[in-house]
Amino acid sequence: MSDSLYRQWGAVALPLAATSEADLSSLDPARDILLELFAAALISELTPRWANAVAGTPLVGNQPVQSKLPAIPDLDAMRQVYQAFPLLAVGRTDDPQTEDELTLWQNRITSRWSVNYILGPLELGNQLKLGDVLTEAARILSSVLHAGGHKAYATTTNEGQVFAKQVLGAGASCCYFSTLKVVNFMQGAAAFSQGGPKYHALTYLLETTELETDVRVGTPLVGRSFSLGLDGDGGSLPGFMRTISRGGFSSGFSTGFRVLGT
Amino acid sequence: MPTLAESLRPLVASIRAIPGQMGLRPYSVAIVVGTWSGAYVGRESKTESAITITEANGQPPKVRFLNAEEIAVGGLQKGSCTIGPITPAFPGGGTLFTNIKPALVDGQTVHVRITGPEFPDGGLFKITAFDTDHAIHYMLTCEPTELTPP
Repeated sequence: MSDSLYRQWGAVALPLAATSEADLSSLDPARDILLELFAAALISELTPRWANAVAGTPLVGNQPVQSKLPAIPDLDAMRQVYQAFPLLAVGRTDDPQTEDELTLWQNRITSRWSVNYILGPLELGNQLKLGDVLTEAARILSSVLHAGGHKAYATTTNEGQVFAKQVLGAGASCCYFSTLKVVNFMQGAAAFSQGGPKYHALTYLLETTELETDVRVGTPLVGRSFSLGLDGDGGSLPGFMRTISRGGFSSGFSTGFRVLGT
Repeated sequence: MPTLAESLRPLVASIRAIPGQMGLRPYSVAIVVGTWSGAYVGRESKTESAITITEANGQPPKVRFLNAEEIAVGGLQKGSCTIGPITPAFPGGGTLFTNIKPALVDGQTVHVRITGPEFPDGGLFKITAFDTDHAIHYMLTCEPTELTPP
């Protein structure tokens, strides 16, 4: 690992640790956290009114979120996988992500996310019977984002009180977003393809930023010697000084600098 | 009392097997259902179950790769093909519609695996259209998913 980068973007730090996982989805854990958070919130908040409302509709017997997809539910995806309705899907959009400098030493990546809550194809009567759930779902998602979590997803205890765990910022099993804002949302008839069947859905667009930070684990300096200068081969001096000023010295560490340049 | 169409199915299945018996059907076709062991599709590992689509005597159906004009008009990807005619089920043979459009549970994937000269290890295609409005044949239109264009 000594030749790895020691940097962290959002929730994922380099060097990557070896795991027994058979896929790479943990390289973007924020997506699964958002998906499970929103699903838990929608199920929790909508369940009291759901069962009676969906009686006699194609959604009878299903939960407010019956299936989850950690991707954008486009035509290509929906042709290859079966997902029961209502479907909740979360994924980074195809919009370009941007990277810019937040501070002199810290960059950030701005991403857009699409959250789709899809009831499925419904005839007019069932549209009018169930369609308002899309309006309410948008309000629930907004409330979840304002609260930073939902008790139905994860809780934390403080002084004996149980609170919803804040999962959007930094922390274990959290999204590590620096900022998050709602760009827009809309609901109504949607189609996976031009001229395709109409599905009744809510599309919720988010924008997040994730910061680049140092990983405070690197190659130990103890027992190593360095030749440093101000330019040419010694151009690493500013970086070195930054490293030791952030990391500090361990006991017994001694330095002997020999300036090679002027 | 079977209808005329139902009575014809055993005969057309036998006729559709003749090119295969003569070695003129180089591609075999199977419907592949994928089940993922993780929480969602694409997570952890996939196990597959396959149903081979055949005409009489286990002969494969016709696979025809579409030409540039058909691809353009149909709005399809390069490498798209049609599969069929596939003879619908009859007592003793044919293909159930539920074999080409299987009932899936949440998160399962479905593809067509075409194995033959261009795809010796089997190429996975997604189904873009079912043609089921004929009493004595089904047709599938498929697009490639994992193929590198020549």
